[in-house]
Amino acid sequence: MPEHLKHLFDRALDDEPAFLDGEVARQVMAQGRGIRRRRQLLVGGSAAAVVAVLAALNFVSLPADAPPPEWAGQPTQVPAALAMIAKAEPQCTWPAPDAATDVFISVRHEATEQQRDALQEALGADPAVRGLIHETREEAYERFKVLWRDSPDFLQSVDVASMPESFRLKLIRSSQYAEFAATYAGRPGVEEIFGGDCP
Amino acid sequence: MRRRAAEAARDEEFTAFVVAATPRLRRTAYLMCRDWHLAQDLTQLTLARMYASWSRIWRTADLEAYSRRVLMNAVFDQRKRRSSSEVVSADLPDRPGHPAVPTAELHVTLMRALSTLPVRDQAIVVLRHWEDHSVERVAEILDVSVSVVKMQSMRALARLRDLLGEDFARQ
Repeated sequence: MPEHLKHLFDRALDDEPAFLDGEVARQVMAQGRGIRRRRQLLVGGSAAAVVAVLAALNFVSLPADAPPPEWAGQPTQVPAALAMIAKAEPQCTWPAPDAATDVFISVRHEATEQQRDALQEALGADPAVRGLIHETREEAYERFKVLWRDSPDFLQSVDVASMPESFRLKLIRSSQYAEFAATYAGRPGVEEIFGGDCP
Repeated sequence: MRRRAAEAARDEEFTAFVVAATPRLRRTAYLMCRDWHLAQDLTQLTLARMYASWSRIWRTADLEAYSRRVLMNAVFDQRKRRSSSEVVSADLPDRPGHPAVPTAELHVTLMRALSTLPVRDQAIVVLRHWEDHSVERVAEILDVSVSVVKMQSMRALARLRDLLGEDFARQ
């Protein structure tokens, strides 16, 4: 029966009208660009959702409908990480630009293993630092899911790729923060440094 | 400049893919929907969706299988949207063994019989028996297990045989 079936399908296709396919590639490329733009808007939308949550937490003072321009075109990593530390340590004030007891350093997505190891070594050997913790993106995402389990919409806007790999640490003296941040800000592999003031 | 050149090369490959893939995708789409204009629209939608992801898939994915999967998803979506607004009745007598159709018209009857099957079964029959994909490949395209393809394929062919009658089965 199968060979016969193929033959019948071929017959059913006999009445195919003549299509002018010359323009198809150009048309579908235009259509495809539109689809791509809409997908990017969706990604941008999730960044906006994260920023809106941050605003609601008083973590950043923003009108909820306007993501800050420097985040608008970026992946959600940094805002999502901020949302997490704000939720995990509600007693702390983030960001604390001058004096900070706690520090959060996000590692660049494209950082090499050597850069990450060198950073970890430098932080571990820094006499100003205590309680150094390294967190992978997967660990961060697991923690994020627990912390935000009551907000399914927000959870849906974030996935493991939205989470950065990070180091968290405490400073021996909060007054050392400005100097500490200046030292590490330009290091290879470092994306962002945030200080928090925890009682 | 180099980025520009890379994009141009990608677009060129995409254009070549479109030229090569369009006729066959359109025919597969037609066997699924029995409407040449809809088949053309579904084919274009498939190609547009592929172009939207082209920078990710162009050198890595199995483009043939990938395009069939995107196409079938477009067909399934379209069917879902349509079925919520319209009832399709295939005017086939559900009386096995008595095809009142001359052999010359058998392909018409086949197309009508096909349309009475569940849409996934139609996809399995078309991919397996018109496109000639292996059971494994059909399973991959439709993202179901090999045993599901084997079982539904058998069920679908048995049903077609019933609808088309003994003449067809013996040919």
